[in-house]
Amino acid sequence: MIVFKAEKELKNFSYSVSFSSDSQITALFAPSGSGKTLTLQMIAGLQKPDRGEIEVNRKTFFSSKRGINLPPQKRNVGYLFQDYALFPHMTVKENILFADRDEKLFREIVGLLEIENILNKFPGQISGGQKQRVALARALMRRPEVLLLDEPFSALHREMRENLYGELLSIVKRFNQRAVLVTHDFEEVLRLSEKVVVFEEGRNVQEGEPEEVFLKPKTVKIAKLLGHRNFLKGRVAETGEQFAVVELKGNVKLKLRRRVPLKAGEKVTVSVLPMSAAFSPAGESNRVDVLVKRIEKRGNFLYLKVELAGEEVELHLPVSLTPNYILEEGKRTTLHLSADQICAIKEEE
Amino acid sequence: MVLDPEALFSIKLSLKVATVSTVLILLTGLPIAYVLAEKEFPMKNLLDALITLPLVFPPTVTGYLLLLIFGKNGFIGEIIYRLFKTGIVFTWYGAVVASSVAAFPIFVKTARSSIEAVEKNLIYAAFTLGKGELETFFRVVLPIAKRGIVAGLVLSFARAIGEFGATLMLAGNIPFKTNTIPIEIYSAVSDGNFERANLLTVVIAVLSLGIIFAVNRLSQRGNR
Repeated sequence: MIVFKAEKELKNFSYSVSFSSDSQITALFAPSGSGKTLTLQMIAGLQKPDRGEIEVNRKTFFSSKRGINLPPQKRNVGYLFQDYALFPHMTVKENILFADRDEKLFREIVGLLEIENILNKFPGQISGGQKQRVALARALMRRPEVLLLDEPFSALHREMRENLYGELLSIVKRFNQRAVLVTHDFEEVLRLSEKVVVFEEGRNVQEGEPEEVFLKPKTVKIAKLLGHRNFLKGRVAETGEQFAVVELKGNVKLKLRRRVPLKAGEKVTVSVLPMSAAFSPAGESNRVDVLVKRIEKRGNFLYLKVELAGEEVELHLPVSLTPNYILEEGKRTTLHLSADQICAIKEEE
Repeated sequence: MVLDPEALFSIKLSLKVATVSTVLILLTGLPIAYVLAEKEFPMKNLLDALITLPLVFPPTVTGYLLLLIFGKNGFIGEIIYRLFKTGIVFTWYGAVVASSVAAFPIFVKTARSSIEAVEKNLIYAAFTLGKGELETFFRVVLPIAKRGIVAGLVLSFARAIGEFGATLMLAGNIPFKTNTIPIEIYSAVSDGNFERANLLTVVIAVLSLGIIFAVNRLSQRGNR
């Protein structure tokens, strides 16, 4: 269990964040410069909040009320720095044994992370992925209360990341390790964490299960942070138990899964996820007639820019599902948009 | 031509004074360099300015101030006199004090910047791995900043061996007692004994070249 509440005034930046989490991996998600790393540093005791309470596994790390501020040495956190922070003058083995000389644990961790063959090398002689494993091994050596992972994958190639996601998950499970993951990649959040806290300019603006947060962003601004790109203004036309219908400009009606309370007549912003599009079998609801403006092939997907209800909307279609003759720039076509992939966002006050 | 005993004495004295000064500078300057590099505290700039003063003051002014402080009636001189029944003015200790003060800022500045260059996250990593500040200093900061610190020592040794103005004010020019090489050269020239001056100049030149060579080697290794 992590309970975090902290305020700090910095030059040009005011920080006030509070969240609690009982998940094994909690993700802190936001673009850079919104105070995520500062949060990790506060948990680790490397930065001191002006006010607040920080508690990990029922141990109070910091409490301004009770005058508690444990030094970093006494908090026992495993910190995986973004740049790995391996000691350049020590071999891999010396780095890992720096914290603790427990030979048995050392052999187990080194075996799990498959770094036996680089133990006598220096950090300058190994690759980025290997550095990350070494840093993780070093952080695990003290059996920390919590692992703090600061954008651990940002410096690595996509492929390598894929491998490391699975590895990290298995290690976290193996050691029953609690972890806080800082990232600006929502894909990573969805893959690794059970709980996400969304940050924006030194504030936590939304939290919850990653999928839920992704499909129920509170505001358009948050939706943009999460990677939503198509926003259309409309008005709720009908509401049912599970679905609602929103009317957009030009009498276009879209059916969407009702995830937030909606009232008929209410103004909402609709976010159409790029993955919502498919070709339209007859009889299906949510058939929309769109004008195709641009087609671009990227990997296994076609990226389409289409005009829908007077706005430009980006949609992604798998190449395998798109016979070329239907799609042509400048022509109209009928697409089906999945109601599950359309989100209603209440108008901001 | 062989060096006369007085000149030989001056060479030995200079080496002794510079060595003792360098050790003193290391012991006192390293903690100060670390504190200046890593800590924030009130009047930090004032401390920095005070340490830098000998670098910008004319050496004779530094020497004069030291004379006021370390003289029999000076506030440190008086304590020393009470404790040891002897003063440092006009002794080789005076030469050590003068060279130490003159060379101190060179070491502190060099050491400070090499400590500042140690990545903060490495220090943080050591802290989160349970190591205290002292252990972190000796096992992480010092090994990484080592080259800069040694270069600072070499440079301050060089400054100490070349010290003239402040030494003359505090230790005087007493043959077989406080006549360091630069002072001996000054005396030789005033006496019109250019042959002696030339020889001692060669000695200083060889020492200086050796020092430049050492510093260059150190900094090249650092860049690799």
